[in-house]
Amino acid sequence: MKFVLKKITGLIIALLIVSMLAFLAFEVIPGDPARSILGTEATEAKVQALREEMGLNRPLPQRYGQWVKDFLTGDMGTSYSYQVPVREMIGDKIPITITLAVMAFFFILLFSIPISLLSVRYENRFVDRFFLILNQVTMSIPPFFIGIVFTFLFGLMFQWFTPGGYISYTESVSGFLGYLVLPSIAIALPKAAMTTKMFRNSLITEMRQDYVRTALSRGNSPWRVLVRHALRNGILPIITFLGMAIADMIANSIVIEQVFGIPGLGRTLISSISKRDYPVVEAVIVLIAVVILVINVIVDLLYQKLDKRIEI
Amino acid sequence: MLKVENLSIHFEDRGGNQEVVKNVSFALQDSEILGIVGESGSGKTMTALTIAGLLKEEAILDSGTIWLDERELLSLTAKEMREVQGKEISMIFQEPMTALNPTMRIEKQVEEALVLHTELSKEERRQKVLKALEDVELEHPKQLCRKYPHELSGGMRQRVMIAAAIVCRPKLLIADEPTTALDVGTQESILKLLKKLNQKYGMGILFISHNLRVVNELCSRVLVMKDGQIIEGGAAEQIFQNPQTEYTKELIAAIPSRMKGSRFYDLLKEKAGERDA
Repeated sequence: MKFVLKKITGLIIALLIVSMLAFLAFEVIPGDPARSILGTEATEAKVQALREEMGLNRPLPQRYGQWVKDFLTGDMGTSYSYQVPVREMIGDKIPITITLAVMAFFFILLFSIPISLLSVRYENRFVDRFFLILNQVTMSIPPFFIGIVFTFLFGLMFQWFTPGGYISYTESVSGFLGYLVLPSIAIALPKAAMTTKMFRNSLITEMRQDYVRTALSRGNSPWRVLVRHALRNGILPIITFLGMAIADMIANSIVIEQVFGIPGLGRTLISSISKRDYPVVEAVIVLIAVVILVINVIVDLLYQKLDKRIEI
Repeated sequence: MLKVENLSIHFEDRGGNQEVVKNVSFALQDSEILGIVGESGSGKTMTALTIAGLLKEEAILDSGTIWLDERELLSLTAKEMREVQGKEISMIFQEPMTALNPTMRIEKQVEEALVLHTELSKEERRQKVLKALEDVELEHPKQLCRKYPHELSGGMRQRVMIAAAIVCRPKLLIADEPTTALDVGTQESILKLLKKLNQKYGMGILFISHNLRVVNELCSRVLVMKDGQIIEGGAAEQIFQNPQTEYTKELIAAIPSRMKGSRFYDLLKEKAGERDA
């Protein structure tokens, strides 16, 4: 109970700081939402009138206070450029980005766990060395470039999918998920390579522990020791890293959505920033922050679940 | 039951070859408790690990045979040897703190040999686990099953190790310094327990220690090892009373004389049982 309270307090403070920073950023960067709506032709008087109407002339603390108050009652404001409530605007985009990030995380595990186990079982043999080199290469390629290579290879050469031919989940769930496979692999690969490197080393450390010798003395095969005994212990040191990887997947989604033409949060965020549509930007930033902070709490809980020696 | 003949092992080190076991031969009769004493590096642990089939890849077997009844263990494949490990030969180790898996419940660890070597149902296995925990004189076995190693004391952990080792009723238990990491009171109670299990199930014990006093207390016969060779062997009484080599004399002299026969020592022995629980 104490843990939950502590975490919730931390969460609220973190969210206040994040949203405040986002507000401040708009004060500092050049550009005016009123002018962005009216266009460069509009007279100064008209722009001023609109600024007054939008409440942009009020002092910053007052505007921020108003925004927080509205946000708490569930009102995320209205988009300046589209004149629709922000909630409607981003509501149907959240599932897209979240699905992308979750799929990418799934692929990280799908690639890194079997490869790590194989590398440790055949430590310093051919398989291990092969993946060591492959990892090093994969780690250093940015996701957007992998995305471009995928589009070229699988889209244009093999024609497995139509680049830019995004299928909405309202049309077909399988088509939607199918379209997200390549983008999620693109963002998963560099992280999967890093995870493999860390997980392999962690497992090798575990395989030198006394309890592994005990397990072998009972007649366990080396594979069984690896999967039944070392895996759970070996995953502990990399859980924090995996938690950060999920957060990273969300950030990377924003980039990869551009490459594959996916209408997720990332696209909305980028176009809103250039239009100085800050109610939308604020809402997206706060949402991403919530997701990342919640993942952190889950990581802490997971630690305790996997290793009962840890008390929270 | 166990017959080791001409066993020689060396380590492939950078540069020179390091011989760790030289021409070791000995035999262990059914339900006998045989002790091997020697200082660290004398090759006693290496001999034990070889019998248990746990030799590391860096260690190279030069010669020798190990017979367990009618079977020669060194000629078995890794897969065949796994059938022997945990079922016919079990081993317990020096460090009860690290020899148990920290993220696995006690029940799973004690049960494992049964999962690997028998076709018993889950319920039958559970009964055997509870029986084994009772055999090693641990209280509240049902609650204990649900616990993790960090919730137990050193002595309790070593008892759990023993329970896991005897759950399949092996013919031979190899105990490599099982009491060294424990305090004196707990040591005594573990020794008593091993003796009891030996009498109850007729299980042979190969007991390895650097401590001649401990070996003398438990074993009927003792081998003294030095630099990879057996330099002396015979009935425990005889070795203790009438040592033939300088080295054995030194080992005996290393036992604090105040310990033996002192009231404090007897008190510890008495209290041993209660202390560990």
